[in-house]
Amino acid sequence: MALSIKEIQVLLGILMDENLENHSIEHIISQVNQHISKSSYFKLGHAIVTVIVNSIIQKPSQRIVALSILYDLYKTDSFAHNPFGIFFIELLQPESSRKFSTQDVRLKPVERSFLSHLIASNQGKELLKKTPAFIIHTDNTTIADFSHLKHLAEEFVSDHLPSTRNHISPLIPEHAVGNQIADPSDARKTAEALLSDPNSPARDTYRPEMIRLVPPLYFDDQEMIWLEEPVLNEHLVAYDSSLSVPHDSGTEAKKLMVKAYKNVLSLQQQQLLLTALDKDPKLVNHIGLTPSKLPDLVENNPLVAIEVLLKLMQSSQITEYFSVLVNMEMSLHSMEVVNRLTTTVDLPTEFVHLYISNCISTCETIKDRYMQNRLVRLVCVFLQSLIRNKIINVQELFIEVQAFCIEFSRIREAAALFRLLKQLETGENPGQSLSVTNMRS
Amino acid sequence: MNPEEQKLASLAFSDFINKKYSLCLQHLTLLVSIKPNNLKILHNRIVAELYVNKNLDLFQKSLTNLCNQGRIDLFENETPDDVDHCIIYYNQAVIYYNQKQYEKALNLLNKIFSLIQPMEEWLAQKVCYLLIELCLLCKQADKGISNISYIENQFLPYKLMDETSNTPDSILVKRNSPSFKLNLLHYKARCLLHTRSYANCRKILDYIFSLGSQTFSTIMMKAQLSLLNMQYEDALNEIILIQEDVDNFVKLGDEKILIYFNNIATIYYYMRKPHLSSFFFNKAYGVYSFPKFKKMPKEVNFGKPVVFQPATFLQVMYNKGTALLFTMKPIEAFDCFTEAVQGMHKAPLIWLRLAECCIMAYKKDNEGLFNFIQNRKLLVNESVGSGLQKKIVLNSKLYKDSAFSSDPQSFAVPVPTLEFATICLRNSYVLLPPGSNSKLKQAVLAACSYVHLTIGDPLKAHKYAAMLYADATCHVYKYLGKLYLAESLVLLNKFQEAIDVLNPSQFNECDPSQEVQKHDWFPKSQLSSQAVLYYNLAAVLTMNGEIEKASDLLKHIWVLKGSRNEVPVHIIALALYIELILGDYEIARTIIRQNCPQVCLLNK
Repeated sequence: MALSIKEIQVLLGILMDENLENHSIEHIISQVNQHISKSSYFKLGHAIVTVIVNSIIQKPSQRIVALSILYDLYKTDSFAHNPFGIFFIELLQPESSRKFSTQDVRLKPVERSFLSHLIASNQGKELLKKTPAFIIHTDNTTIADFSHLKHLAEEFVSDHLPSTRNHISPLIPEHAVGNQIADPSDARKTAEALLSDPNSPARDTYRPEMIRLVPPLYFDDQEMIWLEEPVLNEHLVAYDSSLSVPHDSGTEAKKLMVKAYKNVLSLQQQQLLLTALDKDPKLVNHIGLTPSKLPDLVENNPLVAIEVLLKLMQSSQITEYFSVLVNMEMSLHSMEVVNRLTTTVDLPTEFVHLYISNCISTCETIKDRYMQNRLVRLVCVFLQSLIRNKIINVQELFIEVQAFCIEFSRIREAAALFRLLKQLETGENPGQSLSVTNMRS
Repeated sequence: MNPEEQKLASLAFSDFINKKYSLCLQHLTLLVSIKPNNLKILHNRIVAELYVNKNLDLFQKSLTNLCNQGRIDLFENETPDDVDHCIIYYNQAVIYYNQKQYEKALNLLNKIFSLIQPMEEWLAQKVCYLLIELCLLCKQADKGISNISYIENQFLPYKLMDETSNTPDSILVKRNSPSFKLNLLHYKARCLLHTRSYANCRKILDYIFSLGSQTFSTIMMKAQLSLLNMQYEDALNEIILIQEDVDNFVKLGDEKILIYFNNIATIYYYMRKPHLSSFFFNKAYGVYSFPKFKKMPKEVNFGKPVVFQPATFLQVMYNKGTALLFTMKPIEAFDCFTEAVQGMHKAPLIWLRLAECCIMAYKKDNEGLFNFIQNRKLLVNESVGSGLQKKIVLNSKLYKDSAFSSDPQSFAVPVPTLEFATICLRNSYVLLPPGSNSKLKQAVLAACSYVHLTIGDPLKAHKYAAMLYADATCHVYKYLGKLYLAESLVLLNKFQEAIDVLNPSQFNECDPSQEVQKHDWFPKSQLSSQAVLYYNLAAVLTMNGEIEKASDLLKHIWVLKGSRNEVPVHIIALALYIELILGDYEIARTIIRQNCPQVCLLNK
């Protein structure tokens, strides 16, 4: 973007020639054209703008020549396409209304007049034939009408992004520009420094820009990957060890138990299971029975359930089994199991009472009339058996049982149970009556 | 079987237990020749074969053949008729487990789970362990918990392990796993941890510790629990016990040491000690380069989960990258993430991390912006020329914040550039769960806006910034959304809209100073973040020709600043600019004289 050193020397040599004002402008332009090729025109134009804007050339004659050279560069193009068109228009504005770095360029009226005629009137060509001294001497202050050019130039820049129109030169004169004329050698040195440096600040711009903050690093409470060790270090392919051990009645018993929860075991299977349990008193702990599975066993194989429960009597789990048993849905089988247990072992009274209450309330709530009758009969027989065997003390349940009998007095067994209660109340021996009832059921 | 055959079978079994697999195979082969149709013998023979040749593929083939021979269809939807077949189901599940086909393995085990009761105990236990392991691997920890309850219900009422029993099953159980109950507890704790039932998990862990039965794995769980409860100090104290026992630490084995280093590094990361964190991740990574792991045999480990899997390596890389990023080493972090992303390319976060590396490589942070005293000499570059012609050169690079590229290189090449960041962010954005407005999404949108502004794509920047500005719930992202949106509007010539967005009266709604206290991010103070917002507004007003309003705003910032200096020097630069376009060089020179002592002004 910079002119070569030679080109700079040519330009400065011309502009700083002490005899400058006495050559015709035409002549000077032809000198420039001799030494600077067309391909450097834009750079040359930029260099001229730089020396004008930065007040490196301060004499009116220098400016007249410089502006003439600048105008000559693009004179064959339409003004609308002249890259420096807007610069000329700027300079023609009064200093106070100029923008962006040209404020310091204080044109004399005669210079303004010259510039306006140069770009806007047909006198331009004539003027170039004169010497700068002559032009200054005329002291012409007429301004040619350049409004159409102003319009064209403004149109030219209207395509630019508004944000790029704010650029100004980053150069500030360190000293206020007064009427002093700078020492020519200082001017030359400064010009050379500004024009020859490929990264010259003269080509840089200063503009307002927004601050753009880098966003913060994202932080997540769960982001890092925590390594977990498996709880167990191995899951290996397994060897079937059941092959190597002699026939195992325990395994057989376990398999039968699984079946016993679902189906009625055949007599043979039942026998097999019970024999195995009898043979190994600890086996009962290893056949997979849990309280939650008891109801299924009771329903399907009450006999097995009884045997298993009897074997579990010493277990710490037995109360849980009882609790499941008395709370399970009332049925013939559950009653059979409870009945058998009551006659064989000492059941805690509260369990029996709970079971009876459970039975009674089941009878009361059941909807199916036929089932209800059946259940009521069963309960009555069961109660009579309990009373006869003195498993329960009827006094403790008297009111509840009596109410039950009255509610179902239409059923013969309930009536019989009621009579039994009455006899007990009056101290009669219930034995005979009970045996009759038993035979009927 | 007759006693002769029975003896052979027992011999084979005892060989197997004693790991004399070849001998075991010999006995079984002999047994097969006697009883060619016994499924159990045939089964054990192929198991022994596996232990001899360690060829899992071959084992799979043999097992399939065995099933065909025994007319066993493992893939029927029902539980097997014969409980003796469960072992085949189990072994098939072990194969799937090794092949990481966890869902398939789980399906198979679910079929035999209802038979754990009639199953022989040693097998039942194996089934239980693998089943729960698979529940964890398939992210069904809640299912794992209900399975454990079922197992407890089935087994624990009769105190499986506490009673002395002389049945052969129990001898086996005792030998293989001393504590079924304890292992179940360990599994339960892990499941509870995964279902975020932290209080219950702690109860179980405390119980295990009270029994003195803690292991490496339970210590890790306890630390993890503290970490999840954000009790980082506790987590550190719990985990560090492992290393304090130096002698035993060395004996832990490389896998546990790797886990230890990774996890302690994780804790340090959350304690916001990224340097320590990255130190330990480095150590974890170092475990991989132990010579013996380079020479790790290729043989299938049929059944032993290996920590040294490629996936684990990538996870450690990911962690290490994150720690490095927070120690401001974006290039090193970038290398870690490009490695890790190969295995985690569906995670939106890792793509954001990659983009963050690119951004940090381009610009480290904003901290430099907020040192007024240091920066003010940067207002002026130098001077040029001599004598009365000497010029002061203002520093236009003060603003330089763009990385326009005309590099023909494909953006898709993973190098830490902002162009590559656009691709990463695109991926991240697409992978975000639809409809969410998580903090992660806001972070992604903020990064998108930043990057596109910086590479000079105001249209895309506007798109993302508008979304961020509209949806941000975190103050810091609302704040950034405001700034980015305004800047993109300026680049699109919409000055007035930008001015509206920057409306300073709404600052309280987006004051980021509370949120960023814990972060290494600037602006930290309310003054600083307010100054940036006001400055940007003043800049847009200036560009829009509203010089007077801009001047007033700058004066306002100056008053707010008082004697504090955490404001950008740009406010002076803009004041200078305003003086220059107003043509007042004298004031400009005065400002420079006040702020830039290095410029020796002869005049006055």
